[in-house]
Amino acid sequence: MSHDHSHEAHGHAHVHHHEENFITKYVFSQDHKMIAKQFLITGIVMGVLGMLMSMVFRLQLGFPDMDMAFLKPFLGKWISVDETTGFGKLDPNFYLALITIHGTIMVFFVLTAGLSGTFSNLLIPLQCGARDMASPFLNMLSYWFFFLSSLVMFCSLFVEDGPASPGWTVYPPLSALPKALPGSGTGMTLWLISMIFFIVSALLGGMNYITTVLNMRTKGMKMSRMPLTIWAFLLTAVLGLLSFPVLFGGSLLLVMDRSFGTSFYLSDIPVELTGGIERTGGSPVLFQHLFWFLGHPEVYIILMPALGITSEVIATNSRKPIFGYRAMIISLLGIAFLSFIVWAHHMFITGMNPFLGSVFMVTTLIIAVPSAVKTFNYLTTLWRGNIQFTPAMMFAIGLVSFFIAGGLTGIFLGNAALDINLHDTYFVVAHFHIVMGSAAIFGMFSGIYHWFPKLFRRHMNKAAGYVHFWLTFISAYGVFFPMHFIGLAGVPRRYYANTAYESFDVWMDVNQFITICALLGGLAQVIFLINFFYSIRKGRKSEQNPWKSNTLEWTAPVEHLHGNWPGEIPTVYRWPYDYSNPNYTEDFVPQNVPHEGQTDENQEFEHPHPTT
Amino acid sequence: MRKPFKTHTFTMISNFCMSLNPKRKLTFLIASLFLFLSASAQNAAEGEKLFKDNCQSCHAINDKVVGPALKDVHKRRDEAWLIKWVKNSQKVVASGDAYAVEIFKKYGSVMTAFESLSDGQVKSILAYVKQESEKAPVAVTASASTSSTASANQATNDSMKSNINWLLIIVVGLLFVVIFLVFNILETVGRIQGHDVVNWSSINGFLMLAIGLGGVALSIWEFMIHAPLTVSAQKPASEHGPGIDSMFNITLLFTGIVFIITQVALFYFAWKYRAKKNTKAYFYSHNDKLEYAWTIVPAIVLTILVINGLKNWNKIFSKPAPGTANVEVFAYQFGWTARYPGADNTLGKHDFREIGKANALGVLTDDPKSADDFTSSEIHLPVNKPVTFKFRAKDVIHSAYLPHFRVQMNVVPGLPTEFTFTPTVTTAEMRTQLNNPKFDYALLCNKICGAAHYRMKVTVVIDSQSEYDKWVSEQKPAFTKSATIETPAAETQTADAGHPVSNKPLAVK
Amino acid sequence: MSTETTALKKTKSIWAGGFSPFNVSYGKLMMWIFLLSDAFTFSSLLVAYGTIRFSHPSPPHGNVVIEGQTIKPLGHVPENFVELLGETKNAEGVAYFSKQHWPSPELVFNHFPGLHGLHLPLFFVSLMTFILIFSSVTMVLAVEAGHRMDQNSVRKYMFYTILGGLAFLGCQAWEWTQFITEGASLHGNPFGPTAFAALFFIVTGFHGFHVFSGVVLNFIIYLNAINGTYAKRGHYEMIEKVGLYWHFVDLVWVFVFTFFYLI
Repeated sequence: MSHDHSHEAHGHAHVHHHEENFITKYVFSQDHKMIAKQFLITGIVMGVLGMLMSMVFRLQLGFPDMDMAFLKPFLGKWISVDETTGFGKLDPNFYLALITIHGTIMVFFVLTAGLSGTFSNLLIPLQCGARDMASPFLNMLSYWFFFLSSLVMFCSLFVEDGPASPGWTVYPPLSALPKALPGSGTGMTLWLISMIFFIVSALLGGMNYITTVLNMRTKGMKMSRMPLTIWAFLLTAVLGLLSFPVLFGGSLLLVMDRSFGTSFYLSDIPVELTGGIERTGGSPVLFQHLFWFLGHPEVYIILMPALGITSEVIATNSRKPIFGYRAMIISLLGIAFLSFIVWAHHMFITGMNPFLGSVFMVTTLIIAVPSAVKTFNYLTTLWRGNIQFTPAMMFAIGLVSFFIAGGLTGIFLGNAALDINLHDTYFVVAHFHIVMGSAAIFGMFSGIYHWFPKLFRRHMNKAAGYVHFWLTFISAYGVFFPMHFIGLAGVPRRYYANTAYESFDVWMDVNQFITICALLGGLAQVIFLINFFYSIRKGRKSEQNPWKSNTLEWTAPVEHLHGNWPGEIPTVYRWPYDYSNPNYTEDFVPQNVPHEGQTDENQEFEHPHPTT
Repeated sequence: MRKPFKTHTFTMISNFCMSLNPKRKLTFLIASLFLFLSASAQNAAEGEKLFKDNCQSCHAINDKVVGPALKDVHKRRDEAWLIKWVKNSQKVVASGDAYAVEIFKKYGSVMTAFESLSDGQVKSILAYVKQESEKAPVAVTASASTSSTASANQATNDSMKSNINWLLIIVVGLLFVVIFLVFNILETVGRIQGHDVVNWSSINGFLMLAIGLGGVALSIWEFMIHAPLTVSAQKPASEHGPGIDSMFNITLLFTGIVFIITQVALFYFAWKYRAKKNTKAYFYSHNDKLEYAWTIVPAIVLTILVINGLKNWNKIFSKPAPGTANVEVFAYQFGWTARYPGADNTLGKHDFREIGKANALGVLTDDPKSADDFTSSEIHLPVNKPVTFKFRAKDVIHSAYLPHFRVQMNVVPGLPTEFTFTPTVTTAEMRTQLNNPKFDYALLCNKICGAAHYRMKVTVVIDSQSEYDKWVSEQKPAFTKSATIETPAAETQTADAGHPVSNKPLAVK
Repeated sequence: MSTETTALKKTKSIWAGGFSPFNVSYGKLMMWIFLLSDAFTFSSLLVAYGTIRFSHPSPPHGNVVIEGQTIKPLGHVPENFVELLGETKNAEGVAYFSKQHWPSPELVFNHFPGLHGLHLPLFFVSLMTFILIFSSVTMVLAVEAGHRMDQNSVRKYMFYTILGGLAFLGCQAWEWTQFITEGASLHGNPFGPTAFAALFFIVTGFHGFHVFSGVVLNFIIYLNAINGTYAKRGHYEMIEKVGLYWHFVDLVWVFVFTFFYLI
């Protein structure tokens, strides 16, 4: 691990900012605020790509006999057009590629890098009271590795045999044998290269986030005074740091299997599929263990930042302290710890020893307890609040709704015996799209609306935000709620068409409904995109503390300074949730306001207990 | 967009298994008509069965699946060439045949070598394909007519449609921009006036209540409509099924209650406590008793579910009783073959190195145990007898999913897996129960395995004991030495495959 | 403002902010965090090793007897040692090398450069381990010299550390060459299951790559120490950071050694 020497002495001394040229300011910027914007915009671009893919395969599923010829200009040879009738059909292999790349992009590029990358970068220094990240240079590298990774993933779409298509979980042997699946050729190689860059990016980012939170908090910012966002980002970074290396190890062995003739994951594969060398002695289930050791924490890597953002947004806009601050931290810690010992619930029926299945069932269902605590605490925070319906708040409420709906179906799937019949059906698709797809993306939208003034010094249009929220909310439920029933009817996921079996025909109209909802949801995102990009340039100028919030980022000037605060970094005297404190006339008391009689030396005030 | 399926209304609960694509009905009728007329009817009928067993997972008559559409294949190549190709396409490619090389390059995947099919069997398949090719255009017209559009108009419609699509996109885009501009004006006016033009707080508050509570109501409504259509609503067809179903119902009860209470509370609070002027929120930072309560109560509920789950799980995966019948379920891209142990109740040994050589399953014919083994492309099981499925995969991971029996297990190459269960309802009984004479149990592939994953299905038939015995008596052993094609398998093997390492010359220092 | 209802506490906490709780610089903390992360990478590879290793039967027990003669450590072995062991069976009737079971590492790695034809089980790898541990010791001395701001000693000990690292890499290169000339590769292994050789190359290769990176880092800070960069900076913390990495690589080797050669 090498450190750039120019940053050896870096610490709190970044007050003076020097003139920068275009390249150092906008491209190879080392300023955490600019890097946050880079993560966000790259994430949004990837998100649009992932969303468009989902629409193509939703059209295929909802209207399997539809003429797809109009997609020919975009998808080229993946739409096979009948020469006589001009009727276009989506290639089944490309369908698999679409679902694979959709999953990969959404999970890693949008909801990991786009969400946690953006807001960890923006908020960790600003809410902890630091001039910048511990190592701005590594922070910049983290973004550029992410960018490179996105670029490779994007390029893999144009490979002759098609992009990777064994599903985002890339289980070998399917992902290792180009003869079994065309996408497992060059496309899969590029997928793995992209993921390895992504892991490097995640590790560089994570190291920085943890170090900054531990080492660089401003005076008075005790761990028990940190906003819940920072707690969430810290734990997210810890999860990433400990689980991504395992995916790295797993991917490395897969690269060896694919390109160098080893058989770590291959066993008893006939020569006709391997191209001449006998492949035996490995274990396909080993890959699944290594993958899900990352894969399950990854779910929380996605969700926890969204929960952190929601905690902050709900408290601010209910004008109430977050209910049970300590319980929220403890439940975050509980979720973070448990997320490492539940991975094999993805593998109940993969041929794993049934005894392991029962162990993992127990740990999995335990994780529902801290999740329940969080839900009830959110609800109580809303209770008797003075709720400001900012778009951010609406999305936060939406997140809570999805978190409940998706979390509850997790209780079915975590139960090994029920999983026998639900595994890999649309029930699973519904479950994770609600709990980590919709919930996390709502957390991300909430964060974007809430911190847009901090990121771009302007406001987004409120009314467009409301329309965006309601359309997205309705269409997300419209898409994913009916999928539960399709799953309970035994319809497997990742089917190119459900027309092959007559007993699935009854779900045809439901599938059409889902597709229409998905298209509506897509349209809603157009409103967001217009609003977002328009407001960057033309939005209403922001005041310093637009939401009357307590956290430190709103004490920094609206203009971006390299070093965040022009003078001293503010000292923190209280917890971040002093909203509507009856001892004060204003309904918020920022963290840098001292209690009466509190000085820098004598500042050990605990946050107040309820007076009644 | 054509709409080939009759749009089902939500009330068609009882009809659900009856629903049949009109196109298929017609095809079926015409097919039976041809059966009577065609001279090669007998051949084609045999061919149809062989086609469904061996070809259907990768080929269709009119559509490209994994391999090319087979329509008019008999016009493209002569019969001798096709037989050679079916039996071992790689040999034809290797021989340098230009057409073969072109096909191989175009489709990129190796076609399974069907060396176990006799020339006569391939001929019957071809007869079937020929018969299907000839009636194919009729079916297309028929399907076009269901959408009441003459096929001549179709083409013009399509080209118009693609223009309309573009226009539509532009119009919608412009509409958005206009709406957005209106919002912007609203916001500017609001800023000048000092307060919002529209009272967003009450609008959003109202919507929270209406859409939130309405959504909860809708979800209950959908549950009532759709739950009866799921397999969970049908009587499980296996002994362990009721255990799973009752646990499902308990979980559903708990989660349903929590779902309704929390969602209602969420949206009710959002409406009730929406911002009002000159009010201040209630400062309420924590309450230990409450927080303990909602930690402990979920913990208790989950403990109940865990105990219940463990009980069921351990029962399902307890060791099968000795003497339980074994059936090997062999999965490959893209199909299933069942292998039955025959009279000796023991499956013969197999070796993946022999797959595709002596037989498609790699069963060792010199093992005396395999002599009476027979295979079937339909799985037949006797009712009320426990059976252990021994799973084996040829190429990639598949998953054997039998939703009606609440059975699923992954089929992993190189890792033997198994599932023991007891079917309790015969196919005939289930047909009466569902009032659907066409109903069949199915074993579906439920792990992504390639292009034709979605077609990888096999029919499961639960027979009464007497029916089953009759069916067994009709089966012929599949792995007798004489029935297999002799290949010099042992000699062509690579030196290090399964032999002591000492055969390999080594330099030792 | 009305009177505070809050309690007043007087405990000073290292977690109170404005202070590093572990009293370390951000750079050292990051190195610790990186090493923690890297430990998980190695763990994943070792878990893979364990899974595949124990899916094969263990090597046969008992003394190796070829043509009635028990082969003892330090003893001479016949020219076609490996070939013979593929056929020679122990008391339980199992050949010493076979595709069916995992090979015994002390029969595979029994060579020593220059000592041709001798059965020296694990002697060479023990020497490698010793070299690496020795280079860790010199690294400790370099760090200690850094604390004393003793530029000459830092230079001296860094030089020894680099030498140790290079020696280790050289030894590994020899061992790989030996193994490869005996017929091992990523997809072939004369001693038994292919996975044995593949795992050997991957895990020791990945470790060797870490050692190589360590040597490069050591070399950079060695140059800096010579140029007096750290003397000018007033502290030798960079040596400590790279030292952490070097000790980690050493520690990982202990695990690799245990898993691959001893179990």
